[in-house]
Amino acid sequence: MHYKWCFPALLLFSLFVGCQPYKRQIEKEFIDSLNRRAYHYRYIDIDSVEALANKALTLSNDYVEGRAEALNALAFHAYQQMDFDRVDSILSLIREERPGSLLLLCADVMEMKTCQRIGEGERFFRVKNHAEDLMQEIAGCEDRLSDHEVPLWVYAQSEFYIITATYYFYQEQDSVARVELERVLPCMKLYVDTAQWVYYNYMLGPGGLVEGRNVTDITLQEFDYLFRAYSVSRREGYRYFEANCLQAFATMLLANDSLIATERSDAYHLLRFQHTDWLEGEATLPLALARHALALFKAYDDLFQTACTYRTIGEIYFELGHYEQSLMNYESALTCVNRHHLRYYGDFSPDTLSVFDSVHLGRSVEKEWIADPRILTVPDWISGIRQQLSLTYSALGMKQASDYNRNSYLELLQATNQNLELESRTEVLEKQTRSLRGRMYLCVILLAIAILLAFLFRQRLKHSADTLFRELKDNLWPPYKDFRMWNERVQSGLKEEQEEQMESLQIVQRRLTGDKRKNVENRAKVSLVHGIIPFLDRISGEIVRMKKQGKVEPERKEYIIELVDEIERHNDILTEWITMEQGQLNLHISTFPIKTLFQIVGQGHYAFDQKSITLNIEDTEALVKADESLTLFMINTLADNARKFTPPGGSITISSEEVDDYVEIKVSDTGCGLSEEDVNILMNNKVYDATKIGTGKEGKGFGFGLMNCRGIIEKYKKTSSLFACCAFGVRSRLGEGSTFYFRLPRVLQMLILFILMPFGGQATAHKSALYDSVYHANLDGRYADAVSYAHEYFLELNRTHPSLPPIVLEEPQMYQRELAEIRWAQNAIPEDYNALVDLRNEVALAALALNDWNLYRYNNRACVRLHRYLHQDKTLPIYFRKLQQTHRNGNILLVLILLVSVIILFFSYKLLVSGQVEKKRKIEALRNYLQHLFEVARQRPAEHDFRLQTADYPEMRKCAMDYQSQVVDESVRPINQLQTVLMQIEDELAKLDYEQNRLYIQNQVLDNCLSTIKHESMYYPSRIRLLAEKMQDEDINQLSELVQYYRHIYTLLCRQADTQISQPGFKRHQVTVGDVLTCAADVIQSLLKRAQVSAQPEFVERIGRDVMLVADESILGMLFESLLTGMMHERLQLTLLAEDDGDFVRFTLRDTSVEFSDEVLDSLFFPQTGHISYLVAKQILREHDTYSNHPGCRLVAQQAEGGGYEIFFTLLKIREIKK
Amino acid sequence: MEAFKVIIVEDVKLELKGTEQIFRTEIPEAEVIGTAQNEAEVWKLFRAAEPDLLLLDLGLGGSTTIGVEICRQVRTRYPQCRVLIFTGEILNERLWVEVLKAGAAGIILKTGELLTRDDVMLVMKGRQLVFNQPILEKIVARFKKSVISESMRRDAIISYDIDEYDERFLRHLALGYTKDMIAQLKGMPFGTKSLEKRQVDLINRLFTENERTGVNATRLAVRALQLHILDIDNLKPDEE
Repeated sequence: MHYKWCFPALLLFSLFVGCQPYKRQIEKEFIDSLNRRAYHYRYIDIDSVEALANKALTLSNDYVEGRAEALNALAFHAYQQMDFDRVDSILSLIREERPGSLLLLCADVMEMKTCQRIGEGERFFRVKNHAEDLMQEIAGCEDRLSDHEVPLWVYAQSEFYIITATYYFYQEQDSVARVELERVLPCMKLYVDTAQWVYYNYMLGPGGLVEGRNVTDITLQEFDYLFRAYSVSRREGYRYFEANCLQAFATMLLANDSLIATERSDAYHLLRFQHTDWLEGEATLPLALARHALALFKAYDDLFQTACTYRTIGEIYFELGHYEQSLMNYESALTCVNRHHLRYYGDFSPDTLSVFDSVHLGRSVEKEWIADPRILTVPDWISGIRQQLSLTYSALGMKQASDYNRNSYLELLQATNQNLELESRTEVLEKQTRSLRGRMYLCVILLAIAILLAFLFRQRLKHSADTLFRELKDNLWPPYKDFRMWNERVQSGLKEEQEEQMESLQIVQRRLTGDKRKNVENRAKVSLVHGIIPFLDRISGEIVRMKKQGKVEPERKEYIIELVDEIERHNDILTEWITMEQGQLNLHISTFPIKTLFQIVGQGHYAFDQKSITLNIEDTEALVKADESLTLFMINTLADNARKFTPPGGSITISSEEVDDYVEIKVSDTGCGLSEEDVNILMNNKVYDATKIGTGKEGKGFGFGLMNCRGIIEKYKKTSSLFACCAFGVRSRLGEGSTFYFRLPRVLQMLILFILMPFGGQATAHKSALYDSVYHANLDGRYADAVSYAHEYFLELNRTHPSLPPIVLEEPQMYQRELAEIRWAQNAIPEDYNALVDLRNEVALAALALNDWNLYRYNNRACVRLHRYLHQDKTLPIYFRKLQQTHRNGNILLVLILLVSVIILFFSYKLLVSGQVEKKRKIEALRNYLQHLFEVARQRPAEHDFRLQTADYPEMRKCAMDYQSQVVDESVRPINQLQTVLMQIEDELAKLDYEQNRLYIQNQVLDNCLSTIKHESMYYPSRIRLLAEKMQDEDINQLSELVQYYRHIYTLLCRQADTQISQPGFKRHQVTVGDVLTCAADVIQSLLKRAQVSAQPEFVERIGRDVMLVADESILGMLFESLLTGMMHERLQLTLLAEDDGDFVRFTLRDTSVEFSDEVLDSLFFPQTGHISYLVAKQILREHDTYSNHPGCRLVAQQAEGGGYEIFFTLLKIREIKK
Repeated sequence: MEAFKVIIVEDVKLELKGTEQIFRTEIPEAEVIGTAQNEAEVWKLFRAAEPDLLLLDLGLGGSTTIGVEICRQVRTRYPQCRVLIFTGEILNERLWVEVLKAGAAGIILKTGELLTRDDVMLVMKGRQLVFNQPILEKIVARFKKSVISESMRRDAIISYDIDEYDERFLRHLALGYTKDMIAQLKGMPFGTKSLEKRQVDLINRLFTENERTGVNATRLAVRALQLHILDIDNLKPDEE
């Protein structure tokens, strides 16, 4: 009974089956139309895109292309929602579908878009390369594209160029971006895609990608592009672009309101008219436009652009000076960022950004985001907001918040550098492959020719063998010439080095002489100081005698007063002497790492091992600005002290700590420690008796070490305010060990990079000083100073390269996008660009603090651009690896062909040219041997090590031997000699350096001792005098005590100076009489010249010039200078006489033109006369006397026999060495 | 006491004044026949009249040690004249020895009680080696030091249990002999092997436990010198 249904059912079924292909076609078209609509809604309504794409997706069961297209639309939706993970997963779904090239290209373009936004440069270029291949493929069959595919193709191409341009634009490579954009319009020759056309116009709008005559021209052109995009998107309902354009208008009008209003008044007024509703209240046009844009973006539901618009509004408020409102808007922008973050990553990363986190100052949430591979965010987005926040806070005067945001901004920039510029490299790669292919063809052709030429080759071989041998015999062989050139170069290099070393030797020598002179002078001062003690003893003697008598004797009292007066006179001379030198700055300040000093101290660990004390030295990277020698001296002193007071088994730790603007260098021990009282004495008393400090008395010094350290720190402080942070102190507890520390100004690490890259000597030093100044000025809050220092820095920099465009502090034309420093870097001018980046940053900071926004913007921009430029190319190795791979593949082929060729050639060889080959082989062997000889000689062997065997080549032996001896004579020996001399000079240099250093420290310490003596004992004499003047019988004891105390203090202080001068500064030399006379003549000449006296000195020699004397040559000149300075006058009639005087040689300086009484002459060498130079002369003679080990040197001033007066001194002759 | 003539050589006027005062108030029998401030004046005074005592400062004017030379010449040319050094050179001990060699009867340092009547009188009585308290203290300190070092040697030999062979072994090590050479010495009953054993034994005695590592023959010999087991002034090999 159901059969009646059977027929129609059968009929329907057959119809269904028959219609199937047709139905599928309809379905496909339906899906295509859905996709087209989804595409159309992209910039109009993002939700419709999703709905339509989903519909298409569900319908397109096995229609791969349709699915892929729908997925693409969904990816776009996810992209606009900033769900980058989803974009990735959708794109991989598309690729799994294996659609045609066109949709793959669309997927690639989408991926590029994503990469561009999240700042993954490397991936961007990888995808871009792939996309380019696809584009090439599709372009080949462009005419076969279906009607549905053509718009897709246009879209993919234009989007590709726009995205690429966007990428370059954000990388500050405007010219490249411009080229990419210019390719967009030609893509649309088949079909005009309105949205893409709008996109293109919008890109040219605010981008600064337009070229023009001047700024005005550019701005107007940009406005036109933007307006075109705006009106079309308004017409077509592209909300997204309309909002974007409005935002761009807002920014543009902010700066160029009047320009646009006059030059493009129609458009301007149209805009105004369209936004009448938005212009309520006090809102300006830009603000109205931006608010409209905000509303549109919100409606379109684009979080990214919403945040950007908030930022724009914030900027507008900032310009208007409404900083609070501007801050609020930035906060909203940041909230958008946070909302995006929490939406996608909130489950595992709940922390969000805040405008200013005063609690976690050091923490940077955005940095954590970027470091986390699971989180995909848009760094540019955040960095822009941060920069604006830093500006706003600065304007509000909240420095800490401003700094916080600026730091975040800089860190973000750091994190998003462009990694790769693979594009140009791909081209190179292609070119390489092509040329490889070409070479292969060439090889095959050459092989054929080679076989033909084999016969001819025989002739040539014979000829060439003869030529080669002739060449060898006549020394015309190129390697030999090369070798000789090398040899010459090396020798002249060594000579140059030798000269340089000699020069530094002279410099050190000069410094040494200077220090030696200073040393002698200091010793003379110590002698002067000692000269007081006999007077003190005399006073004591008188007091003892009065005590015995039990009464005051007026005669003795008077004598005591006379003695005290004498002491005071001595003190006055000392004071005068010391103050005379105070103006001279004699610290050698430099910037150096503490590490090297620690290493030097560490080398002396043996002394600690001996006492079974562990010496720990902590590694440090700290840099300080101080006197290097003195710092080493201080560390050594403290370490030695610690060693003395630490029992065996203990440990000593030397370490440093960087705090704020100083570095604290610490020496801690596990010794017995000090009581509070002792610490007080150590730190506060200028003079103390070290034997009274601490518990045990064993191994005690006098405490001079610590006094010296304290003195050095005091000296730093007096030198400059830069050293205000210097300090010296001790932290100690009885029984728990002590920590002695001192502080030196800290220098930041990045500075040293700059200092360590010297090019240009003086200028560099000056620049680095300026740089330091900028840095320190900023540190101290003197921002205006910092800017002016930076200005000077640029002037200095420009002075070194006058031909280049000058680097400036600020440029009025922000649109001149080519920065001078980038031009410099492009031209490979050797400068330290990293320092320049830092400097720009410092200036930006200063400008921020000064609220000078234009200066800030320019320098910030310069800083960022230069930084980006410098960090562009870091993936060269990857590129090379790729290049090598291609190369290798090509090479294997090439090698195979070559191999075959070689085999063929070999046979033709064997048949045709074997006889000649043998001959040539021998010559080759000889040449190889000689090559080897040169190689070995180039290693600069010692002469006796330079032996090469020639026995292997008996036939060529003569030639080889000739070469060998030539190499030895011309190169090995002279280079050896030069190296030996150089080494000797270097050793001498090291020795002098060491001595100079020692003397330098001795002088510094002596300076300290002397000024302490001066300060600490000055007022006693006057007290003694006061007491003595009104002394009664019962006061004798009081006076006695005072004098005793004075003497005690005085001798204690003197002892410190004595320990210093117990190390001799005197150097025994053998000097001839002739040397002394030459030296004297030099000094006389220069003194006469200086005093402008035209006297003709007479030299009388009554002893051979070659008689040898014991003397220190380096201070002889000073001796003559000291003596002659006082003798200079206009009518000078000087005679220098050298004569025999027993064991000595007497040198007499006689002036017959002036008479002096015996009294004057007798007292010439006493301090009372106030002739400091004579005291120095006396000291020099005393040194000679002491260290020549034979007392009896004289220094006498007396009346000359024939009238006038004379000063003579004697120097010890060197007797024949007794055998 | 009979009257005697004195010449004072002193370059600092103020000091000269004090010295003259001492003579005037405390040693009235002394007649100061002249004072000199430089070398030339000394000889001029001597040519005029020969004194019984010359009170001499070592440094005059620019010449800081010329007193030694003056003393030597006075003692050769005028052997009757006694020379007493009165000097502020408290540090330069070498000069003291030089001046005593040159014939000075004594040295008075310009510190403490300065010049006293007793010192001058002792010199006039013909006594040699007259020193005042400060210089005596220095001399005695030196003397003590040398005596202590002498006794330390004896102590060391006892406390480190050094026998005759040990001493000879160490002494020859210090002189650079090898153990083979020491074994060859006359009256040395040991072979090289047992000398090596003896060396190890000595190291154990002379060094504490944590000092012993890495001690070689040189270090051992130096240690013996440091401990005064060997006398550095008497370092001679055995007579062969």
